[in-house]
Formats: sequence, C-alpha cells, structure tokens
Amino acid sequence: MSGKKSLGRFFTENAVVIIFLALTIAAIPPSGLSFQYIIQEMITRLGRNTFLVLALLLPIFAGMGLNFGMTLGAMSGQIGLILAINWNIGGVEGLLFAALVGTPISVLMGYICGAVLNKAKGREMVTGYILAFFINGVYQFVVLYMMGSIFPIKNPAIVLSRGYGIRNTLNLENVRQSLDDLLMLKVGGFLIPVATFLIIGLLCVFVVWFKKTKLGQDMRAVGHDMTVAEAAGVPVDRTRIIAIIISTVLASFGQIIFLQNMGNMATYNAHDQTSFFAVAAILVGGASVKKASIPNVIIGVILLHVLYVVTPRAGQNLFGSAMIGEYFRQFIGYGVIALTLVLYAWKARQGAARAREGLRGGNSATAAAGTAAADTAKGGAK
Amino acid sequence: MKQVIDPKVRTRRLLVRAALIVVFAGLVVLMFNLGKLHTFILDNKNLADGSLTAARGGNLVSIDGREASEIYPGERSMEKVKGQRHTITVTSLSGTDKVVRRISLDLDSEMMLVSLPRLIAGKEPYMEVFVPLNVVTTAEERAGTDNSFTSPEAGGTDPVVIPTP
Amino acid sequence: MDKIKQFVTDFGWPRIIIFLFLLFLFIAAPFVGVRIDASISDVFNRFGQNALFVLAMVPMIQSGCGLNFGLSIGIIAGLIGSTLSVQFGLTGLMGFFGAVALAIPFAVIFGWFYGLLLNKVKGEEMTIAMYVGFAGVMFMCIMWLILPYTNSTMVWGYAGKGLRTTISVEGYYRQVLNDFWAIRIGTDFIFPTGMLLFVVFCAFLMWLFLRTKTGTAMTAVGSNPDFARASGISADRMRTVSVIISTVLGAVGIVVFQQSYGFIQLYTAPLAMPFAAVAAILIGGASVNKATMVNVLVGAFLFQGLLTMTPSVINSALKTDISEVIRIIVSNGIIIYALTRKTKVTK
Repeated sequence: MSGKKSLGRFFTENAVVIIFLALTIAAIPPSGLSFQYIIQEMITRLGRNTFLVLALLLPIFAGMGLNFGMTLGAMSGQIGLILAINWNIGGVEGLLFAALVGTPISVLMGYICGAVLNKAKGREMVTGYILAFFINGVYQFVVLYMMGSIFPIKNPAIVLSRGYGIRNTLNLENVRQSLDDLLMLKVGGFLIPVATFLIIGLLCVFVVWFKKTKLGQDMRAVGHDMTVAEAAGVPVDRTRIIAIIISTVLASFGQIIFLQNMGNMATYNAHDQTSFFAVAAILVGGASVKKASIPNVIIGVILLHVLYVVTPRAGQNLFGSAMIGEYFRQFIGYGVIALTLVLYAWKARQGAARAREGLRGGNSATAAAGTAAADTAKGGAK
Repeated sequence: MKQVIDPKVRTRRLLVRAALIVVFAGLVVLMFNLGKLHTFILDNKNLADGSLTAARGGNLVSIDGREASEIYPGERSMEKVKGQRHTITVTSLSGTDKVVRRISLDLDSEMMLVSLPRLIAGKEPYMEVFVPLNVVTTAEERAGTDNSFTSPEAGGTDPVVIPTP
Repeated sequence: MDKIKQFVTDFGWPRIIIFLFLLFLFIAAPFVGVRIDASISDVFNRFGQNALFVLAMVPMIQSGCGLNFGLSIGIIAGLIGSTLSVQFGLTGLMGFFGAVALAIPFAVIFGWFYGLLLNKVKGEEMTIAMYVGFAGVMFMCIMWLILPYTNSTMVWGYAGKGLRTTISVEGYYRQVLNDFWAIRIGTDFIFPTGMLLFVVFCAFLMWLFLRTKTGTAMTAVGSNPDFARASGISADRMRTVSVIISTVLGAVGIVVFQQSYGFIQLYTAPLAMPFAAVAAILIGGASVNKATMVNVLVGAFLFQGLLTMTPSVINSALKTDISEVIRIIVSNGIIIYALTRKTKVTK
C-alpha cells in the first residue's frame, strides 16, 4: 500500500480524534488560559475520570457496544457513599467501605442489566440507556423515600427536614480527596495524585491480563460473532452478563473515585451524566462501538476535558457569553457520540455490501477492497 | 442442558464462595472500624464544683502525635479522629507538665466531650458522650428533581471552575 | 377463556396493569378530595397537547426505522416556526397556522437530512436518532442565543439579544385551538374541542395516508423488506418519507402544545420530549415495529392520564411527591418492556 494511501486511511480511521484535536487546539488561545492551568486541570481530571471510562472497555470487547447501563454502577457506588457518610466513616477507609457496599449492589445491577440486554440483542445501547432511566427511578424511590423511613439513617444531617429521604446535596467532607491526598506528589509545580493513578494503572493491568484469560478470549469470540461462539461451545449469554457485571462494578468504583475528587455529591443528579461523559470520552479517543483500547481511553479523557475546560472561557471571550461555550461543549459531546456511531454503522454496512459484491465474483481488486473494508468494519477488539 | 458437576468440585466451589463471603464481610467490618470517625471536643473549663481548674496559661494538646493545638482556659476545641484507639498528649503551656493518656472509644460514640482538667488530674471519668443540643438544620431543600423524566440535564453537572485571572 | 388469554398476551401485562392502575386512580380520586371533573378536563387537555408527538411515532415505526428518539429534530423545526410567527407579530388563528406553515418547510428539510442519515445506519437507528436529537437541541441552544430575533417579547431585556428561555404566546396564539368551540361545564370542566378536533383530523389524515399507495409501500418496507424489494419499492425512499412525516408531525405537535400550554419553551426543553412520546405509544400497545391509530389514541390517553392523575391522587393520598418516581419507573419500564420483546431485527 502506498504511503499516500495509508496516510489517507489513517485520516479516515482517526477522523474523530483529528477533528477533535483541531477543535481543541483552536479553542485554547481564545480561552486565554495558561498551559500551566490547563495541564494541572488535565492531571486532576485524568485521575477523576479515567477509571469510569475504563469501565466501558469490557462490554465493547464482548460486542455489546457502549455500556450506557454503567449508570447503574454509578448509582450503586453512590449508595455506598451515602452509607459511608451516614455512619461517619472517613478517609480512604470510608471510600473502601463505600466500594465494598457498592460491590454487591452493582453485581446485582449488572446481572439485571446483562439479563435485560440479552433479551434485546441488536439494540443493547438504546436499551441500556433507557434501563439507566428506569433504575434511576428505583434509585430515587430508595434514596428519597425508603432511606430514613424504612432503612434507618443515623446521621440527621443528611436527611431532609421532612424526616425521610436524603438531602439533594451531600457534603463528602470526610472522604474528600482522601484517595488523591494519600500520595500527592509535586512535580515541577504540578500536583499529581499518585495513588489514584496507581489504581487506574492497576485496572489497566487487570484489563490487559483479563483479555488473555479464558473468559476474556470467550468475550472476544462472542464480540466477534455470537453464532460462531455459540457453536464453539462458548456460553454466550453468560459471558455477556459477566462482561456487564464487571463493567458495572468498575463503574461503581469509578463513580466513588470521581465523587471523592469532586467532594460533593448531588444525590439525585450525580449519575445523570456519567455515561454521557464516559462514552463521549472513549469515542473522542478514537474508539468505536466494537473496538476500543486503553490508549483510546486516556487520549479521549484528555481531549474531551481540555475542550470542556477551555470552551466556556473561549465562548466568553469570543462571543461575550459563557453560555455559548457551555452549549457548544454539550453539542460537541453529543455530536461526537452521534458522529462516531454513524461512521461506525456506515462503515459496517459498506463493508458488508462490498463483501457481498466480492462473493458475487466481482474483479479481484474490489474483492480485496471488500474484505479489507469488512475487516475494518468487524474491527475485532485488538 | 444440565451439566453434571463432580460433587468434589461442588464442595470446593461452595467452600471458596463461603470463604469469599467471609472475607468480604470481614473487610466491611474492618473498614467500618478503621474508618469510623469520632469527634473529640476538648474542653478546658474549670469544673462546676470548683474542685479542678484549668491550667493557667493554657495547654498544648496533641492527638495521635498530630500538630498540637493551644487551648486556653475556658476554651473548647474540636478534633476529628479516625478509629477507636487514640493517644492524647497534653502539655501545659506554662510549665513542663506532660500528661499522656491512651483512650479507647466505643464504635458508636460520635462525639466525646473531654474535660482537660480531669484528664490532667487523671480523675475518671474525663470523657463523656456529647449530644449536640440542636442539630443544625439548613434551609429546606426541594426534594427530588423536577423534569426528571429523563434528566439529561443540559446545564451540565460538571462544574467548571473558571479561574479569575 | 382462551380468548381472554389471547387478548392478555396480545396486549401485554404491563399495559393491563397500567390501565387498571389508571382506573383505580379515577375511582380513588373523589375519596382523597381530587375533583374528578377538573381531572378529566386536565387529562383531555394534556391528551391534546401530546397526541401529535405520539402520532409522529407511527410512520417511522411502520417503515422499520424503530422508535423516533430523535423527535426533537421535528420539535426544533416547530420552535423555529413558532418563534418566527411571533417575530412577525402574527396573532390569533393566523399566528397558529402561521407558525405551522413556517415550521413545515424547516421540518421537511431537517427530516430529509435526518432520513438520509438514518438510511446510512440501518439497524442502529434508535441510538443514533437519540444522539442526533440531543446534538440538534444543543446546536439550536447556541442558535437561540445568536439568531437576530428582535421582538421584545422574546428577547432578553437587558442584553437586547438572545431569546428568553420561555416565551409567552399570550396575545399571539395562546389557546386559539383550545377555545375554538370549547365546551364549558361548571367552573372546572373545559372540553378543548378545537384542539381535539385538530388532533383527530391529523390522526385521520395519517390513517388515510397509510392506506394510500405510498402508505402501504411504506408499511411493506417495514414489515416485509424482501417483498418490498421484490415489488420494486425503494426502501430508502420510503424510509426517508416516513422520517419527514414524523418530523413534520413533531413540528406541528410542538405548536399545538404551545398554544395550549401558553409558552414557547426553548433551549434544552425539547431534550426529554421524545421519551414521553415513545413511552406513550408503547403503552398504547404498539411494538417497536408495528403501530396503529388505536395505539396512538389509547397510548396518549393512558400515558397522559397517568401523568395527570398520579400526582394529584397519590400526592393527596400519601402526602408525598412520590408520583414523580412512579412516573419515571412506569414510563421507562414500558419502553424497556417493548425493547426486550422478541422481534425480528431490521437489517
């Protein structure tokens, strides 16, 4: 393949990343923010968000698309945090306690999510999205009506004055940044939360290792072709459920890490945009519905969040309205998700069409192009 | 499709699972104990019956070797601590008296009022459970969310801190 | 007995439960001090406000595009029409039909592009529609801020530019359809004849359309693609037509909604609207790939009835605001129920 051609291919395959990079770079100067500030902000946000985004990887390997049901995990984590605050458990131990409480809840949630998605094969993403709304209702029911009435809440400071239900905003003072502060290094004027990054690193190692296990291999087989996997004796439904359970549990840990860094928790809204940010980030990083890797996650978190940091200021300076920047970044977030999904679906269809033509015995060149396109489309989690 | 599982494997599986649950429960309890926060209210007031008075010139109080805080007669100070076993070191600001007391708390004691004069004198009980008279109630918040049919809140929950240049 | 069983399986347990629940609410209403006439009036009103959105689901379901989670595209077109109508100072019925007329060209254009896009992504329509809708709404948020509207009722007073979040249509076309031949009984019961007639008229047009040559071809594309291909129907063209019709109905729907509600809601208001419409048609008994006029009318009535009655009855009975939660659970539950039914996947 000639250099020109491969360059062209590089551009088409990384279109989203390149467009996004250009946008972000263009938005930095008008924002007037210093690089010092942006870099510090990036380090903080990498620590805050990466874990959550990594939680998306396994379901993508298993061919279930972007797991919008990760919100279920986020809610489980929040329940853990509410209980930690209730019993006044602080520090890293408080976070671990929240994670421990969140684990069984998120396993159950993940099981439910996986079972539902198994009944909606072919439309996992939209189903997961609506399922998150549904469970949001259940979560509100539990937190707003059951807690303090049926489940005793010890700490009166977190209960609404009507006597039951948790307040809209929880102060996470006792656990605030306890993970980040566990091992905070100052390198060249930048504060680096080493402990948080270590945990993220551990998760990355886990993901790499997991892919090599029997279960990980099964997952990829299922992601590649469910019928073939079934025929080869892989328990398809079970594997898919496990992928979602792991993702949900990771999302619950991720949400706890996210919230400890924020230091406050909007009890009824904190999980609303969890999946939006995570999905937008992984897609911005160059992942697709069927193919994602750890670099995608890291690049995506950095790019998305640089844009999120700079756009309000850029909007303020360019148009005299911070709201324009605010809307713009939301537009970009949703737009990127839409665009990536469209590009992926389009490529997959083109690939399928060309492969079909190739089978019909078109000339060898089109056949080769067809298989190449089909390969790109299938993508196989690498 | 029913798989036949070797009874040996089954017992082993059962054992492993039981062990996991025990470990899990143990971890929860451990974290609860280690992370449980308690609040000390260090009270440097003369006793009501006048039998003991606060050290003139005040005291330096340090808990678990943390940076000491100065507490003058008639003052109170609050310290949050994690876990149930603590060491309180009291040094008088004027003299060289130094008292070290090891304290063990109950798991459910949230706030403890520590009387420094009693503690220095070693007169039990120098610690009592403190119940705040009125729980601070902030203005009533709206319960629930409006428009939460779907709640893709467009306002953005991601607080962007715009630095002031 | 078998007949009943058959009916139950056809209709689905969730829907029967919802129906019984609504019935229970109506019966319980007088006992907890909720005025039944005011409630029924309210249900009719909200039925009329939302029925067109529900109707907008039909063409895309029929043509195999699935549930139109991107209805906000149509709503945006409607918002453009209504703001233009107010900008031009059209009042009364003129204002309403002006808004509709101004909205339709935008709706057709948007719908056409939206349809082309959905043709490229067969099989993934619903997720993509959702995000295209979200992105469209956010894009228009920027537009509302910078488009050169000047009418002082719409523009932020202090900045002199950018549209307000809510704009009153009082003095323009507020309630023009509702008041048309409206029937008042007592103080609390108002039957919005004009609006309901309009809704029925639109539903009738849709019913007619589905029986025309184009309409049947569209249904064929959705229900039997191979047959459609064999008989020389262009699937892509039919799908695009269905998307355009859906978008236009969304646009008209929001204008109807505004005249009854009294306000134009801009910015992020359209984000959640498609979900309510999707839930409504599914409650009415539609599936992901089949919907009828009965589904629309029953669904809109049941869903809006639920939305009206749960807050008033449950809140006065239990003295809590729990109805909101019930609403979230019920409406999203029914969507999940429909999405998990075994249906063939459109390719």
